[in-house]
Amino acid sequence: MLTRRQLLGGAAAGLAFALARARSAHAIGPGSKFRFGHLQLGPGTSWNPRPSALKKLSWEVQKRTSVDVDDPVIVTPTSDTLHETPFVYLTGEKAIEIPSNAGVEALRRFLTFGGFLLIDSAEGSTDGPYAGSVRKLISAIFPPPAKSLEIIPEDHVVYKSFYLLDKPVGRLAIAPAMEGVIRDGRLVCAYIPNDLGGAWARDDFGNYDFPCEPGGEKQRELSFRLAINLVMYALCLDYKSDQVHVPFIMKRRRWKPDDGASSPTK
Amino acid sequence: MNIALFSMSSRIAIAIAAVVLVIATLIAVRRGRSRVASVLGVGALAAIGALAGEGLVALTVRLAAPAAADFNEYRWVFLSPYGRWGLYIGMLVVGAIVALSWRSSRGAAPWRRATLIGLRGAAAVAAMVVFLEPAVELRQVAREPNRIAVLIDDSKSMSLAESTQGPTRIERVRRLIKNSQTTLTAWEREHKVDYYTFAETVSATSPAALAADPAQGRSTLIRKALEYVRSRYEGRDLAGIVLISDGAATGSFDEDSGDGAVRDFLRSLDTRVHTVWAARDGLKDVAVARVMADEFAFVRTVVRLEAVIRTTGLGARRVPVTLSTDGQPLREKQIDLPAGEHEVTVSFEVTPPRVGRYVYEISVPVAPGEAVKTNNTRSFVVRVIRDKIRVLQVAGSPSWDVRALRQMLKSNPNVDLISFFILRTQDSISLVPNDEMSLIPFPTRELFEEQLPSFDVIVLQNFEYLPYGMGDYLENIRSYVEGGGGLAMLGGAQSFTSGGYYGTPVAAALPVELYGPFDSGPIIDTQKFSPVLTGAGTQHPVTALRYSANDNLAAWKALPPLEGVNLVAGPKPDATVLATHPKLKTKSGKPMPVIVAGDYGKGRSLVFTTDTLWKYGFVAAARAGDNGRQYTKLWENSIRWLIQDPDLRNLHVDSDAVEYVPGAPVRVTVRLLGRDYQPLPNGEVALIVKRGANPSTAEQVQAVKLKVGDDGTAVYELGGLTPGVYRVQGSAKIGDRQIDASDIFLVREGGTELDRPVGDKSTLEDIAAATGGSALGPVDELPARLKMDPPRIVRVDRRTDIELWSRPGLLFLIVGLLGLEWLLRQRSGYL
Repeated sequence: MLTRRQLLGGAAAGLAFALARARSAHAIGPGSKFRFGHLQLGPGTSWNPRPSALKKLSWEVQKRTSVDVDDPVIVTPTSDTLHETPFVYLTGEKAIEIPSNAGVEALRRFLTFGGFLLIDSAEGSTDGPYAGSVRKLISAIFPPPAKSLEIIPEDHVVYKSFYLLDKPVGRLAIAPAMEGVIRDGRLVCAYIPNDLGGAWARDDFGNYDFPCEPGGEKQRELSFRLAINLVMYALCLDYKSDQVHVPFIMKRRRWKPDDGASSPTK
Repeated sequence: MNIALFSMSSRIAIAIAAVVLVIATLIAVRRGRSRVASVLGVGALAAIGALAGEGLVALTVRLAAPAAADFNEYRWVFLSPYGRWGLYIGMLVVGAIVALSWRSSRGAAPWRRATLIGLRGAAAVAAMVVFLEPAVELRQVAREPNRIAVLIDDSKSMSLAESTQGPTRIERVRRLIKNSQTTLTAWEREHKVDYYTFAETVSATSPAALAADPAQGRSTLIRKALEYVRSRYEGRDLAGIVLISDGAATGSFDEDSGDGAVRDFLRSLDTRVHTVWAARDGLKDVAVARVMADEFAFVRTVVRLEAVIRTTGLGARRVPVTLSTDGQPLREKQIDLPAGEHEVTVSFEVTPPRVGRYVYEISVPVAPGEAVKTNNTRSFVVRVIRDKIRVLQVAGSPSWDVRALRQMLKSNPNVDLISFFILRTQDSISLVPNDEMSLIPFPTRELFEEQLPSFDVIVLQNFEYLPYGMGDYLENIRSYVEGGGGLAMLGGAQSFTSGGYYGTPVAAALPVELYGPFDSGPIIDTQKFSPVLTGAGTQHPVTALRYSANDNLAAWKALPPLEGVNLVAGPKPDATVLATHPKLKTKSGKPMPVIVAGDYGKGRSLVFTTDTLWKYGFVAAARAGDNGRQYTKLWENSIRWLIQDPDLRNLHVDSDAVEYVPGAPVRVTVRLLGRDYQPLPNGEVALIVKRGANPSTAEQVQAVKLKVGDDGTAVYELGGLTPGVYRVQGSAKIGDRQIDASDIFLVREGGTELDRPVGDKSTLEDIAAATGGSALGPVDELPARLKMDPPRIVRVDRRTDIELWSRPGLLFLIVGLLGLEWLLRQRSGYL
């Protein structure tokens, strides 16, 4: 049985088999690459309070993982290209308007058939107008009796899909837990009103736009790790939780003859 | 008819005793020993009286029944109601009268005294006759001769000879019958002798027919033969059974003829079974006596096959035992066989690579002087079924294409998926300690060396092998496919030529030729495109999203465009191109393949040169009414094609059993299903039957065209097949699509008869002991002394009773004897 220590300690050995030569691309076309879709939902520019955040996050994902990442694109619920970016990011600082029926239906299809929606908040509050409108949006997409937002427990695979984490933090740490919508066992929407974008945003000189409170730079790092975990979860689903079972599955299958006989040359 | 109270020898003895007693009496009188003389005299008179009485009875019967000569049997009966007790009381009374007479005649001269006692005793006996009313029942009867059943084993083992020069066992039986004419003639006086041969069935025979019996029965069912005889003579008189066999039984006597159930059965026969052993010691044989294997096994899972190797009459030796299938050796083991008769168990483990029927063969080499060569090989059938489809998905980096395939496979309950994704490479920057990351090493050796054959399908998805030191394992992947596995390679910047696969063993298994490192030109194109189905692709099981070719073309045209392809040099010559790029060409000017399928050895490989198939699912699902099902369908098709799933067939060819005896009818059922998997009436199916374990060298033995009925089925009966492995291959056309199916079955030589050819004397001894018969062993002649039950069935045609007590002469005799005694007593001075 693979222990947690072995599992983690062995990572170094596995990673030692790294590329022998430099390689910058893992995909053969834009369609193969990962890119964030920034969901434009809200009045004026309130849908994009941290304009540099996603680009910076994209760079971090590219830098830290084997995922091939392209620049983020802006999408709307009814845009033709919504499904080209299965990972969609929504944030804001003011209350958003619930999209038209077509828009809500499009978002429902998007989430039902495999899309992932990360909802951030630059409002600085867990119960402000933006937060209220987000809950209305989720209720509109998944009307009762479907389950709406629920607390995602700490043992969910999203907390260990790349980094080992135990809480969701951003620029702020006002929401102690991640909320989300789970459909058919899959987390389709994560709501973290801790201003993740505020932790990622950086100016052209490389300085971060906002300090992280109360944890400072450590909290910012954890915010990036959380985002990368969310990307990995969207791309690999419950891959990490499956890995724990692999040694058992392998052992269960006895395929190799162990009879002491030889295999004659044909 | 003469009534005799005594046998002739008794009669002579009584007469001699009478003479001796008279002489002894005279001597005793002369010597003055009057008391002794009196006793001897009484004895002499009693002996004479007995003989006289017998004559008197005979005379009485003769006079009373003049036609007594017609009667051939008689018996004594008492007509008085006193029965046996009356007889005992009467005898006591006679004894008492004699004793009183002895006492009252004291003082008389010896002869006189003896005469007085004799006369009174005779009168008392005569009176007792009146009292007991005895009669002679004369009967005219006829006795039915009962039957002796001679059971002769004519199974195949009886055609064996223990030595090359010696007689066969059946020849020994013929000689035994010939030598036993005296005994048989003697038996014929009281019995009728019925001859039977037995093997798997029992047949009536005769000594003459036995001369031409080749002894080719396929089993030795001794119990069945005995049961048959018992039931045949049920209610009839059976004198006994003579069982002549080598004792090499199959069926219920083959293992332990001494156990309780068998003994109970033998006792229930209620007749003696005398046994003769037709075999002799000295037979040489090595046999695969038994095979223990489950009828079912799971694909890609170890199945254990055990065989018992029996050696008889040979010296100690080491022999190789080989397990083969399709005419090819799979496993081999050396075993040590001790001298004499021994059994050695050998076990093999094999991993069936595909679903279906497998004919395995276990064999040992033929030793010099072996009596039976056919039992050195034993074939058997194992049905291999699938539990789950085991898929290994290896991806060089997480992507939407990787996610889509994982999600699709994980949601399929029939798939057992193991995924390995490279989440981070050495390019990736990390300032994070490893214990804060949830990464595990990539277990290349475990996956690609130890566990590889446990998978049904391997999907290499944008995976470059070199960074993981996997160069040594690529040959494993190639041989895995060659051995029956399925391999799919998907496009990406780490696939095909850009993944470094050119010239590797994996490239050999792919259905496309790769560009080499010195080929000029691009190896990747990043433009959007919609693949174009080829003619083959319109109906190929992989690309058939809809059954009808036109519907399928329409379905493909409705799919969203893909983005980017790996460029390849072209398809391999025997590969099937299913879809091509609409614009790009290979260097030979042919359309650039995008989806290509091919066979490699016993396995299959499939390539998609793009890494954006996910768009057929999630992007397609953006449109109302499209749920992205086509992506799932395409991959379900691909997996089923890669694993060569028999359930995909529209044509089924099935024999009604997996194993037959030579000559037995083999019913082959053909079932033709239409596109909707409903029975297709009146279709035509071509059947070809081939014989031979090795498919490449099997000879065609029959070819026929069948027309199925309204229910889509047809039955074809094969007959007269000789031992061997047979394949039935069927082919038909549904529309313009050619479909094939096949089945395999086995015709086995001799059943289990020659698996154990050595004669077993103990079986016959046990049978004889349990039934009270004689185990004669290896005799050349049947002895006359064999105990047979006498005929019991009697027919009484006529009978009459002669009453002895009611004869007037008897009264005269009593009066005369008493009168004479009185007269003698008077003259002697007694009252």
